Amino acid sequence: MLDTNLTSAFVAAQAAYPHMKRAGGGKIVNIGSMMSLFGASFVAPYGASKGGIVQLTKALAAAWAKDGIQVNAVLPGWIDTELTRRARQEVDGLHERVLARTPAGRWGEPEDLAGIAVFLCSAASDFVTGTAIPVDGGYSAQA
Amino acid sequence: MANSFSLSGKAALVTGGNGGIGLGMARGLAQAGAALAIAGRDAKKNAAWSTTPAPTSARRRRTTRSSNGARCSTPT
Repeated sequence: MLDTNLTSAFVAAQAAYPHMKRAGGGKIVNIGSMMSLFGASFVAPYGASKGGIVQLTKALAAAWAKDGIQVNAVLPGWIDTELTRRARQEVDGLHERVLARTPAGRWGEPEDLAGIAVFLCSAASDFVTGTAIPVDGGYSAQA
Repeated sequence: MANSFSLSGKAALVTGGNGGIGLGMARGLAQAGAALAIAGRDAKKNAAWSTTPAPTSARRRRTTRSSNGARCSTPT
């Protein structure tokens, strides 16, 4: 779990760094989760990996700002994917609970992440670094 | 301001980009003009991603094998 979710991001960033530095700058977007923000009893390893993504993002942002590299994290909420489709089959009532808590009143679609990806990879975000931005229809804003 | 969102002339590598959230992000980057490479652990999904029905008109990509054996899709 840590290898796939966290170490991979560190290894990939380290591999990209010399190229971005040589190019005079670059953008790194890491993928966190709602579990970067709060815990759930049934996903401790996943939560640990996604919490780590946020701190890794901040550390790299601080280290590489001098090279013109911005490092940010996106924290997707409940998105309708193969992964969460399986979770919905396995966890009773998950679908309804998510709907009830999400102010936007729906599950997210993968395309809901397109805009933040473009923003964080474009010149529009050149002064944005070390952030962790939820894209969750308001899920994390509502208790 | 609109121009500052353009990714024209930029190259993007999306790891885990062959499905789900990664694919949604990859399609956004392609639409904004980025040249795209995607990498993932499932070679079959890497090869298939460009033919996966998209709600938007992402351009089709050619699939190649990179030097480290990972499957990548690059612009044709």
